[in-house]
Amino acid sequence: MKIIQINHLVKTFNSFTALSGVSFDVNQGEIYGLLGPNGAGKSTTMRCLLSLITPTAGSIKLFEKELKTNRREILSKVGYLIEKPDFYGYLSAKRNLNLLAAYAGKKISSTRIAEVIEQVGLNGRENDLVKTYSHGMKQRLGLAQVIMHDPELIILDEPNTGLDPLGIIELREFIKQLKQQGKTIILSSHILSEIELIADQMVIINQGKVVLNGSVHDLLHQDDLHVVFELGAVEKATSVIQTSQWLSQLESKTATTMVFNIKQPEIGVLNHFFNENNVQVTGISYRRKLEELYMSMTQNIK
Amino acid sequence: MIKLIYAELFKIASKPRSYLGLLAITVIVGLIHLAMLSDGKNYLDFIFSTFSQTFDISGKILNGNLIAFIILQMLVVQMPLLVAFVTGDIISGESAGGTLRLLAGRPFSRTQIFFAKYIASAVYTAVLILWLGILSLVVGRLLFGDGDMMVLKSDGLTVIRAHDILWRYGIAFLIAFLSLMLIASYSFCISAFADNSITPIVICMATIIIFTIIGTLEIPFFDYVKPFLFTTHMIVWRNIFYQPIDWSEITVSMAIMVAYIVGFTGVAWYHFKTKDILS
Repeated sequence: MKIIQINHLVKTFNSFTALSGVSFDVNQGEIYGLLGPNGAGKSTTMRCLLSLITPTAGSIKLFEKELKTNRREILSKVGYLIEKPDFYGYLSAKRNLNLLAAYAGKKISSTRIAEVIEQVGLNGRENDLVKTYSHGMKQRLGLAQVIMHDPELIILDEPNTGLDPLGIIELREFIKQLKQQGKTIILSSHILSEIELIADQMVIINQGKVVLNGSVHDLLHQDDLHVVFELGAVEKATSVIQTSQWLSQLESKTATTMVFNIKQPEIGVLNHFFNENNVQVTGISYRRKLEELYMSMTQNIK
Repeated sequence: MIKLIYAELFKIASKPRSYLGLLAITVIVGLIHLAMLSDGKNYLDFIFSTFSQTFDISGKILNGNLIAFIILQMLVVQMPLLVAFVTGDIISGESAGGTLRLLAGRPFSRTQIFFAKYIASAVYTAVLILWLGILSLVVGRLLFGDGDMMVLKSDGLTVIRAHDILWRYGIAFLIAFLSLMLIASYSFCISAFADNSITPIVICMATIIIFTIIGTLEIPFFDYVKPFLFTTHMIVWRNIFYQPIDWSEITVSMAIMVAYIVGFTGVAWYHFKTKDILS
């Protein structure tokens, strides 16, 4: 079942075109990553999914129904956290959740609220005013309000922003748990590694257009790396690899570097090969495919 | 919908700023009561000195009914500020605080959210008026007693018998509520357009001050404008204490105020319903 079907979505703000014919589908039970630089149109797309923004053109179907005409039914099955987690600072976390429960469109018991508070690790602090919370705690509260009505679709816009490394890991685990529960999740990020680690599918948006869409696994060919060898003598290196197996994996070279398309375990072997042939290696670095992909997709599209 | 109204009322009740209005009314009315208790007789002698040469005024003219009238007149300027302080923040405050996006993506229509907020604002306005009524009239009568009420007009003086007063106050407070609902609707309307909570309050107060100044200037040019200013009609509650009561003027003014309320609310509703929530 397709949970999200976005078709030729266009959104203009006066003369600025934020979305220019965005189309993609999200299948049930998938984690879908929305990737793109700042201002690419990720948040605008997500806000359109929640009817916070009215599209200029195009159609949105959620749960195979038109959002425009089935808003109430659809949005009762959606949980979301858009941008930073803002709450009523003059209320406690528990009061905030109670208040938002009134807007959920279904009855949420106090037991359920206590349960989600515990699930996100805010128990013991649930009666403190939210204005005393750190960003990380507000993020936890944000996740509590996302899941409290047991939604089928979860929309998270830049959920990693402002979190420390531990918070990022915890959030990743939390999202994976939600997937295990059968939820469909769409999340945006500009942290490539996060998308790579948790998403099944991804779409790269740039300048309001979808520039790449597909399975993360297929797009990455995770075994292959672009490995950059910084060498003392590139000419000598060129001659020594002429008769070796490495020639076919040489991708490009400059006056000081050679770039190979190799697997991770081969890095050491190639390094050893250069040393054996008296070619000085001054540095090794590699870029993941996703970074390459992202850079090429977001820098060259006009 | 009831749940939403309750949630909005809960928010108003949880905000410290909501109590400033009640506190301000308590302080102002308390000070007036105190001043009247200590020096009320001299104050009234001064006020009625013009008429003492023409009429023989005897008996106790300082009573709770008159004090309530004086308080109502004095609070005409302050009450709108107190109302706008809360109602001007209801949409724009959420927009500025980022919580509007928490609500607007929920399975309730924008119209439902809008009217839940609007009804909560109306309840808050009613509470302010009720509190003013209790303090000025009920406490005033307890402190200063009941009695006939003398009302000064620009062209004379009206005496209203004690038994004939309460119903007039009932209508006067209803008209005052309508006036404040006009202010609430106006500030609510600006609030729907603004992205911070200060702008609606400032614009609302600036409008009232400008309109009041225009209303008091005796320049013929402004005579054409005055009937269209809502501030002109907000003081019509006073007419209920004149003899005979000019019901047609009261009805027209009330109708104009209702028209303003519907107009401001309609504009605010349409904008809120269609606006993109970007905050």
